[in-house]
Amino acid sequence: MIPAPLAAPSVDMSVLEAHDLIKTYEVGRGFFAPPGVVRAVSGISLRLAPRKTLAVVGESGSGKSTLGRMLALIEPPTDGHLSIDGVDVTGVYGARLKALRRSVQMVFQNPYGSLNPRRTIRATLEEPLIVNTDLGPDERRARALDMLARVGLRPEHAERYPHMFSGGQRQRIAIARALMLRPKIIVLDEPVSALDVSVRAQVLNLLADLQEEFDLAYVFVSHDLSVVRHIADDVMVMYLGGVVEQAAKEAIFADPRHPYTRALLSATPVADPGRPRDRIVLTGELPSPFAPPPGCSFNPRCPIAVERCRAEKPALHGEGDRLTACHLAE
Amino acid sequence: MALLEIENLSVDFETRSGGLFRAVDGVSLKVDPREIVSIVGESGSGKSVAMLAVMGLLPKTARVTADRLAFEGMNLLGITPAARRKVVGKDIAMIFQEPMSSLNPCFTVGFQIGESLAAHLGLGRAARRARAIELLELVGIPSPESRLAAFPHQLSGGMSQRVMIAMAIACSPKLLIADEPSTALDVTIQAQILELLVRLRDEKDMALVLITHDMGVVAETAERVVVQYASQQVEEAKTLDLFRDPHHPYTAALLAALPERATEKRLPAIPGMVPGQWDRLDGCRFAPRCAVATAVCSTRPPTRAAADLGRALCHTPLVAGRPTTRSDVAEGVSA
Repeated sequence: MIPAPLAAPSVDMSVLEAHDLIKTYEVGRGFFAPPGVVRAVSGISLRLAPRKTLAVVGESGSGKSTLGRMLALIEPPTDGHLSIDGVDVTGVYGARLKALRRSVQMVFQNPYGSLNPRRTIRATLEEPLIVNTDLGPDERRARALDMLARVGLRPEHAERYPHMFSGGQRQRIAIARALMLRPKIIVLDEPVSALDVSVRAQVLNLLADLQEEFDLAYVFVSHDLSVVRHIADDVMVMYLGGVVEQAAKEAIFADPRHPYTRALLSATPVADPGRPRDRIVLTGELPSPFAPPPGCSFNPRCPIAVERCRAEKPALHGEGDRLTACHLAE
Repeated sequence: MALLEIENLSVDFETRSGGLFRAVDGVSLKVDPREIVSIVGESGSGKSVAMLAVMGLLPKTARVTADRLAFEGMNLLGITPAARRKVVGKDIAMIFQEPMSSLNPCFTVGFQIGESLAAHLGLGRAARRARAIELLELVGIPSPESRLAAFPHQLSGGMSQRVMIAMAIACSPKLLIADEPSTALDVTIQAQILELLVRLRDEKDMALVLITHDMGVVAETAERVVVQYASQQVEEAKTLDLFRDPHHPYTAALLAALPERATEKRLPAIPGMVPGQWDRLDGCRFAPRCAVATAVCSTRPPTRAAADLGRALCHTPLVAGRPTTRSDVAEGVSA
């Protein structure tokens, strides 16, 4: 059976908790070379309460998608602990893992690639029910049509194929599919970055409505800070697999403490031509994850780096929920 | 004299069903030397196709018509392909959205930069190499000598885009058309590329046409903006004016839908979606989604308003957010 949506979530209870998650990959570098080890995610801890949105921000190669996939139980972490709704999921496999997967679902970036072009929308929406529940065909159909209506599509859309829909509609379908099992957590990997501005606003509104209706917790992976500022409660900024800053949204945007967060904020174009520009343009690019720089991973691009940054890796520190990984952040 | 003059440009594509699809409908644009003009619109609004028509890069199925299409006074419409190739790539250059797929994976970066130098300037091997190094240095690629022998797959996205820019400015063009130059890149790299384009404009005295969908990029880079919707140009204004007081309801709705301009949790989204090929109305194409549409909007196509109203393609252009009756169109007179 499908677990009913959480009746009355208490505020301090977290549905998702991660401690020191690490993910490494072995990558072959040619026949004679020894395989290299890439640390895609190193030591990330987080908590997420129902009805809250945690935004994970970073550039490509920062490990934000890998983190999202671990939280969605698509990939097991190499080390660390992950618990969903109070149940530790590390080391769980088989039928129990399958049962846990119902409570976490994922929406992917590209709605053109994430829907099977040869299946009708109804078949796509019923698939999770077939795999995870023992509902009969009539009940499955009813639930699929109901969910379609909730994401703003009409019943006659059910028998159509993905190519007959626009990008925004496809993303609605992908969101409906993620909701079919009534999960508690949804990992959204860049859900609106492939959409046009006018449609993007529609989908963001839909996500906000559904969060209210189903008491969902969102992990919102994005590189777009203007969207994050709108939708998030907490923000985690990642750089080269690690967290550089983690805090409530208001704190991050009003008073960014890590130089990378500051650069990211100043580099984001703002639709206000009168605004004075004090852009911090970073030099260089993200270093290769095969050979991360010694000390702070941001030091080769950091405008305020000192000698200590090149030798010693800063730990994530701070008071309460306001954490920064920088030697110079007081 | 304007550098690029486009008057009433239309592009039709033959479709498989035998009909014609109008991808660009009556677009006019003037670009002065050293100016940064931005063309903004959603996907499918025809913003790229209009510029590809200028470059002559459209496939054979395209029918390009215009009252005037001129570069530095030279008519680009009637000239032979050979004469056009003398201009395109030399005086007008273009960079594309996907730097990774725009570079040829089989040739080194140095060779690809050298191609236009050989074709347009007739430089010899040594001169090409020297110029290529100079160009890579100009676009901010570290140790350019060693990068000449690199293949595109050895470069990151930001580096590939820099190489694309180096290729485009190789012959010191007077006009650079940049089609979503920073969309596929990360935010910090996007900032570097936009900075580079503006710097090149300042140093090299070239005009820049920036095609984008990102209002933030427009606000920070462009001097003048053209807004396109469903193949038509709906508004044209100075950047400051456009953001302060948009005259076309589509521009106003687009700006209101930006998350950074939102004041509440729910964004003022534009309902519905862009009309497809076959469901374009007789009247204004934005009417079904427009918040201030009247009965006349869905039956009669609007004409252009005056220049102080952003040449808005609207029956009731907005002033300070409110629809107004146009004085230049008398009631009952068909446009």
